[in-house]
Amino acid sequence: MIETSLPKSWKEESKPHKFCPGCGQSLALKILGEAIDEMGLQEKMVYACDIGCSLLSWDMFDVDTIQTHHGRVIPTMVGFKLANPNAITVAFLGDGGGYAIGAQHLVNAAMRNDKITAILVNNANYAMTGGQMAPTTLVNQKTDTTPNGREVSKFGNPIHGPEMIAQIAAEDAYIARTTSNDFDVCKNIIKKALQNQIDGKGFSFVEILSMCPVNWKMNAQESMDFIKNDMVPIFPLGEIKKSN
Amino acid sequence: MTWYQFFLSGKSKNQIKKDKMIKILLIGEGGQGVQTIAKVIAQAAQKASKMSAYIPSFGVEQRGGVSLAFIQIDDQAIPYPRFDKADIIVSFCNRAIEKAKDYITNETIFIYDDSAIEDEYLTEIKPLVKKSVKIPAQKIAQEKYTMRVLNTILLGATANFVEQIKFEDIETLILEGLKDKIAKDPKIKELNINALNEGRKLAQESGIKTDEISGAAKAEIQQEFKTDKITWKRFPNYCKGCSLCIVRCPVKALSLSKDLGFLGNPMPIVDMEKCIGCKMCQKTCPDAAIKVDKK
Amino acid sequence: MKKEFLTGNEAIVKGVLAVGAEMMAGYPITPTTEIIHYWSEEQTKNENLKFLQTEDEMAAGFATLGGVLAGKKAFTATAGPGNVLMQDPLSMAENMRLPIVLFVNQRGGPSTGTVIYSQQELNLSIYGGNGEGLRIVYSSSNVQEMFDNAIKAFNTAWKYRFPTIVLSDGYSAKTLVEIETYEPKEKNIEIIPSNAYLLNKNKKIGQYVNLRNTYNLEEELHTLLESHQKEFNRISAELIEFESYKTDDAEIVIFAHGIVGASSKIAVDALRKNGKKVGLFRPITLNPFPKNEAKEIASKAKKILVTESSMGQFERLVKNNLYGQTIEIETLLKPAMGISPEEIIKKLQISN
Repeated sequence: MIETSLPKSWKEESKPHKFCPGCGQSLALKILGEAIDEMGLQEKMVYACDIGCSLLSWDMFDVDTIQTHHGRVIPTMVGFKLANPNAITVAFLGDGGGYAIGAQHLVNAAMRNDKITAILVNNANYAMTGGQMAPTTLVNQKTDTTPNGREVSKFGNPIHGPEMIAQIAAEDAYIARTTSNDFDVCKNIIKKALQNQIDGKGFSFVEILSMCPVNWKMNAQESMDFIKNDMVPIFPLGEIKKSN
Repeated sequence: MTWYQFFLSGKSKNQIKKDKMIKILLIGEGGQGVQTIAKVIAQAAQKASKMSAYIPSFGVEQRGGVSLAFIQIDDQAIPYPRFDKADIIVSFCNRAIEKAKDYITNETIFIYDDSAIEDEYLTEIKPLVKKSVKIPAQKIAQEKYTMRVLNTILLGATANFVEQIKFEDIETLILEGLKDKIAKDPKIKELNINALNEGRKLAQESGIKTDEISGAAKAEIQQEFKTDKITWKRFPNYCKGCSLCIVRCPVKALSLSKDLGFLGNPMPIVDMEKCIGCKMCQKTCPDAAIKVDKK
Repeated sequence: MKKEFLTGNEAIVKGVLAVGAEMMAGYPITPTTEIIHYWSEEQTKNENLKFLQTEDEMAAGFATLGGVLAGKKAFTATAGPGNVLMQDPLSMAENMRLPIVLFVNQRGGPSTGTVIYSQQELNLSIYGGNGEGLRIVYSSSNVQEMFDNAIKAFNTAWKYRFPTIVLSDGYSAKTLVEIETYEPKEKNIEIIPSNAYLLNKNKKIGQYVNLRNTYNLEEELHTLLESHQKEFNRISAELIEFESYKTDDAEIVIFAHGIVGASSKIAVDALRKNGKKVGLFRPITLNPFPKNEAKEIASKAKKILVTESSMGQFERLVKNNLYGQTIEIETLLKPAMGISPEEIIKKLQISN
């Protein structure tokens, strides 16, 4: 049996996984898998995914997992953590689940400073359903529901989730934005977001800019360029709240 | 069975030439262009003043799941878009065969890519196939054209057996669908016309065979590449051909090869003379399809 | 066992505590708000009790499911428009057979309606959500039953693993009467334990559970649903509860549930005093419905009167279950308004 580079916490039986070729979300999940391995969390944590492309990760991990309804992954993990405070709870969701249908849950979890780790993938569209506009779609970006590009006069500007959450969050919350293209930095940030929960501190929230070559209708190089040249200038990378 | 299903099944039994109703099922990997050509066939039927119905069938994934297309052509309106048994089945890939088994009858014309589908995947369906057509679409696409016209070749082959549609209409429709791409690169037009005609030619050369079907030998793909310090491994059962590794390699040691991954996609191959063992390719692969070890 | 002077909402809280409830997530809505209020007070006295006031009913339901997944006896409570939102988490519980317990005090609908009273949430509670109605639904007719059924709901949910809903109404929620409260063991009622779905204490290293409610192939979901339905059918006989009052020789049988059943019982006694042979059939489990018993009654009586504070939700359920019976069915339907014994008496005196 040739040794592979699958993270130990990835479930081998479900591979190859069902994410598209070149998908930044699956890359983020691989980085998360490596973080789980390096921190030894497999037996202590619960992983929850939302609806959208994230539902494809329901059998990604050899970790106890629950796939929930759209936008509801955060309250499910909040309830689980309340019932089992020793568990490390990870809520994984997309830009729709976090900033649209589940926005009130994200905001209220931050307000209450719930001790969960929420990881949100921002690929600037609703990918699973074929590439409709998301709250994070860039101005002038063409999507299925903005065939002429996102117009500010009709749909406003893209939402800055971590910055918005930072306004409500407590002092010991950890809030950051990274991209799955910077694997080492991304893994570090994910680890900090998990450690914040392990240390019994507050709400941890990480947004990960991720490539979506299929719905962006781009190849590998183009989708990497789109992250670097188009998304990062609008969604700056870095730690927004460092949890004192 | 409802009255109209009974009505339809009675009409289509054994009667591809005599009756007008025909049921065609295409099965391939998501991303191989199954739905594109299914739509063309349905539209060609409408152009020929027939009635057609087409419905795609697939799972939640955007890419990578097995993709089926159900097409029916008849003189009158078709009330129900799916069917239990097909008059023609076109199988693109290994994973199509498992699905094909459910839809086959003694009269079904089983069109299959015998250069892509490995013989061992055909074992269970062999006794069920009474009429077959061999189309080495993948081999021809790789040798003479590009993998992007795999579906066009199979379209040409299939159209040969559907007398309800006109070949010229198929040509027109496929080019119409590609008009934006043709505007950027005019060579695409000729490529597709040739591939289409190639497919028809292959179908005519093969004809409908009644002997036992056979597929390709298991593909021998070199997975491991070594120098004395670095081992570079690729995994065809994980690689989806996204090319992130090629793009991110700092020394341009990677390029696309003719070896195919499990989705029928070209896989990367390494030039070990250039490889520095930095593991960038391993890190960037979302599918963990590359492993690099450095001493 | 002791006698206590309680409102319906207080009785619910006492009941859930008696059977070992450990967690509640909820959002305030009349006439259920008191349940949240009493629970939030109880949990200040007992650190083993968990409480969360959420941002809406969807969060309440999903947080409750989170508690269930962690193995806690968790419940929530709502009414009216809150019940509409609750269908999101209930659908997930239905697909995955998660033992969530929900208390509903029905109020006038649709939409904001009234905060007062109705029996208009039967459809929603049994069939709400995009599934087949595989929820166990009880209907309480008085404050005593609100206590009794609270205990029953947890045991039913954790024994049979279907979402379990106890319907009551706005009147009963606020009615103050004397009831008998007890510990389950005093009545030989076994307390069914809960256990965790995820990070179960017996989980071995290397063993993992991946739970989902989405399927790729039609066949997968179809098979799952058939297996759920089969199990639901299997347990129905053990679960079904009803009250059959003076029906043996009855010529007219009233079919009613919940508090309208209580009202009907008074009407039955009054009419019997005047020589009319009237009886009452009161399902206590609305789902599963006591179908065989209902059919039996319908085959012997001359007429049925279905009465409810809705425009026919219970009537449809009754007729669906009585299919094949040719007995005449009359109705007394008053959506969003109470039905007094006098009204029922008058209806039956006029009709013959």
